[in-house]
Amino acid sequence: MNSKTPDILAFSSENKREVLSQTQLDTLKDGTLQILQEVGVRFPSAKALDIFADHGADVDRNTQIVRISADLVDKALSTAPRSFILGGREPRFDLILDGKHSYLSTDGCGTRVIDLETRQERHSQKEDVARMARISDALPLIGFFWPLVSAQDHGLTAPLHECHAGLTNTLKHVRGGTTVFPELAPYLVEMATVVAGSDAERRKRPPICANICTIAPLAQDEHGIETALVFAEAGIPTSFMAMPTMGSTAPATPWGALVSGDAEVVSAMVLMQLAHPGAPVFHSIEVSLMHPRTGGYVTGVDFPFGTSTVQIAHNWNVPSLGGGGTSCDAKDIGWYSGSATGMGAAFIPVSGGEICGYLGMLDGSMLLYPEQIILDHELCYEVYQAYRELKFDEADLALDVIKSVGPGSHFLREKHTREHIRDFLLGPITEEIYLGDERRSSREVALEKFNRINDTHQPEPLPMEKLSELDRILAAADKEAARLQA
Amino acid sequence: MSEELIGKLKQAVIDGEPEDAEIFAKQALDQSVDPLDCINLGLTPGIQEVGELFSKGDYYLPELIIGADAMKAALDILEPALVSGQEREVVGRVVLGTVAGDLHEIGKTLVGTMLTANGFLVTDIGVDQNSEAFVAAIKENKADIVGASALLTTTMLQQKKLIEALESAGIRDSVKVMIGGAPVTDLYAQEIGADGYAEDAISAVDIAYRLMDAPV
Ligand code: B1M
Repeated sequence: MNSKTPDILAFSSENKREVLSQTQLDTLKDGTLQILQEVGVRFPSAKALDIFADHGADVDRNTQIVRISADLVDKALSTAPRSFILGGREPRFDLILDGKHSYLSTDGCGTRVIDLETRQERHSQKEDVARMARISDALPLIGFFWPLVSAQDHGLTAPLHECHAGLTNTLKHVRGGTTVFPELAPYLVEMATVVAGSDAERRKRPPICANICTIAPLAQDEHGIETALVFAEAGIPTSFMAMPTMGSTAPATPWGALVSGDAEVVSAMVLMQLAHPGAPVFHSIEVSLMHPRTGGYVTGVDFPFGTSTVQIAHNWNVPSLGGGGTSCDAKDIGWYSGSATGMGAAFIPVSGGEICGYLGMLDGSMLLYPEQIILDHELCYEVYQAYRELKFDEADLALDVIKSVGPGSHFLREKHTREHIRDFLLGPITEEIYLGDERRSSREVALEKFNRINDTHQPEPLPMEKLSELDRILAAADKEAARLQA
Repeated sequence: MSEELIGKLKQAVIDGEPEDAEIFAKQALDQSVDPLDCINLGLTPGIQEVGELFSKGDYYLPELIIGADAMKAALDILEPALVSGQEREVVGRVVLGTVAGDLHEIGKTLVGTMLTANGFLVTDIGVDQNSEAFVAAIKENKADIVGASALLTTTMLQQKKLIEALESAGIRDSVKVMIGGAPVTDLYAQEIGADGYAEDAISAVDIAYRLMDAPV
C-alpha cells in the first residue's frame, strides 16, 4: 500500500534580516571583481579556456588562469535567471526559487552511518540513501532531497546510484549530480529526462540538480567544471559551492574568505552563461575555519555567514544555496548538537536563502544518526511555527464563549473547547515526551518515530517502464565507469 | 662564528622566518661552516623545538608550517653543499600526494608538515597525482614510505591502483604504503594491502615511525 507524500512546507522570506548594507555589499562585489580581473581563477580545462577566450577574457594557456573584466562579468551574468523551478515528481512538489520561499534540504555526501539495527558506525551504502529518501519524503518541511550519505558500495558511479536511490524513493526534488566525471554526466541527464517525461519537461521542471564545488583558493576542478557544462546545456540547475576554510584555503578573516569564495563562484557562473546563456545556476559559499591545532574542518563559526552569503548571492541577482542550517560539528547527540542545530534552524527565516537547512547529519556533515533528521525536523518545525503568518478575525476571539461562561467557572464543558483543543500543534517529539506515561529522552522518541516512518512510509513508486529505463541507464553508466577506470 | 650562525639558523626555524633561514644558510656556506653541522645542530633541534611547542599548545599549525618552511629554505641551500658520503640524518624518506582525480589539499599537507617536524624527509608531489607520478617520485627520492591521501569515495580506488602500480614497477617490497583521508578506514587499508592507515596527521607520524621500525 502506497503512502501519501505530504505537501511541502516552505518558510516565507518575509522576515528577512539584512546583515550587510548595500555599501558593504558593493565593497565585497568590488573586491570580487578586482580578484577576477587582477588575480584570475584557474580553469584546468581546455574547453573552459576556449569559451573564455572566445568571449574576450584574458586567458593564459600555460597557467590556465583566466582573468575576467568587470564588463564581461556583468554581461555574462545578465543572462543568469533570478528565478527558476526545481521540479518534483508532481507539480505540487516543485520548488520555486524566487527569493520568496526558503526550502529545507537534507545534508549531503557524508560517509559514515550509525546502523539502524546494530547501532555501530559503518560505511554508508546505497540502501542508506534510499531509506533516507523515504524518510525525507514523509517529512513535510523537507523540500529538497540531497543524498545525505554516499553510495560507497558503488565506486565511481556512486553519485549516479545516489541519484537513482533518490528518484525512486521520494517525490521531491533530488540533488543528483555530484558526479566528478563529465563522461558520466550525460547518464544523469538521461535519468532526469526519463523521470520528467520529455526533454522539454526536463528543462521546464528539472527533477534533479547538481552541486559542483569550486576549489579554494581561486581554482576550478576540470571534471567538475566540464560536468557543469553538460548540465548547463541540458538545463539542469547547478549550484556552485565555494568552501573556503579560514586559515588554510582562504584568508583567516570572514571578509577575506567571503570575497575569495565569491570570486570562485562568480567565475564559474560566468562560464556557464557564456557557454549556455540562461542556464540556471545558483550561488553558494560555505565558510569554515581550520582548527588551529588539529587542522580539522570546523563549521560552527560564530559569524552570520548564512545570512551574508544569501545577500551576496542576491546581490548578483541569482538564487542562493545556504542561509542557516542544522548541520553541526558535534559527534553525538547531546546539548551541543541541540543548541547548534537549534541556533542554525532559528536563522533560516531571517536569512531568506532559497535552499538551506541541511538536515540530518552530525560531525561536520560526515556522520548520519538515523534519529537526527527527526530531531532537526522538529526544531525546524518549531521555527516554522514561530514565523508563520498569524491570521485571525473577531470570530476567532471566542467572545461568545467567554460571555457565556462569564467570570469564575471553567471552559471544560464547552463545545468550543472540544472543537479546538486539538488545534494546538505540539511538535511530534515534545508531544510524546509530555503525553506519554513516563518521560523519555527526545532521542529515544525520535528513533521510534524514525522506525515508524521507515516501517510504514512507502511513497508512490515510479511507473514500471520508467524504473526499468533507469536500470538500463545505470547499467550503461556502470559499464562506462569500468571503461574509464581501465 | 660557526656556533653563532648555527644558533641563528635554529632560531630562524623556531621563529618561522624562511627568508632569514636562507640568508643564514648562505652566510654559513660563505664562511665555510660545515653544512652537516648546520643541519644536525641548527635546523634539526630547531624543528624539534617547534614540534615541542606545538605539542605543549603554545604553537598552532600556522607556526608549525612556517617553521617547516624555514627549515626547508635552509636545507635547499645546505644539502647540495654536503660532500659525498655526508648525509643528513632523517627518520625516513616519504613521498606524499593526493591521488588522481582528487583535489583535496589540506589533510595531505598537514600530514607532510607533521612528518617533517618529526624528522622525516618529505617530498610532497601535490594533488591529483596518478600512480605513474607516485612511482617516479618514489624512485627519484628513494622513498621508504609512500603516502597517498584520498578524500572521495570515487578516488579511494586510486589508492588500490597505486599499490598495483608499485607491484608492476617491481618496487612494492622496497616501499611501505600509508593511506588516509576522510572515507578511508583501517579495514579498507587492509583490504587493499596497504601497510598502514592513519586517521589524522598526528597518528600518521606514529604509523610512519612504526613502518620505519623506529622508536616513537
Ligand atoms: C598518507 O597518509 C595519510 C594519513 C592521514 C591522512 C591522509 C594521508 N590524508 C588525510 N589524512 C588524515 O589526516 C588529515 C589531517 O588530520 C586529515 O585530512 P582531512 O582532509 O580529512 O582533514 C583536513 C585537515 C580538513 N578537511 C578538509 O580540508 C576537507 C573538508 C571537506 C569539507 C571538504 C573540502 C574542504 C573541500 N571539498 Co570536498 N570536502 C570534504 C570534506 C568533508 C570533511 N569534513 O572532511 C569531502 C571529502 N568532499 C566531498 C565532495 C563530494 C567533494 N569535495 C569537493 C571539493 C572540495 C573543495 C575543493 C571545495 C574543498 C577542498 C579545498 C582544498 N583546496 O583542499 C569536490 C571534489 C573535488 C575533487 N575533484 O577533489 C566534491 C566531489 C564536491 C563537488 N560536487 O564538487 C565529500 C566526499 C563524499 C564522498 N563520500 O566521496 C566530503 C566528505 C564532504 C561532504 N560531506 O560532502 C585526515 O583525513
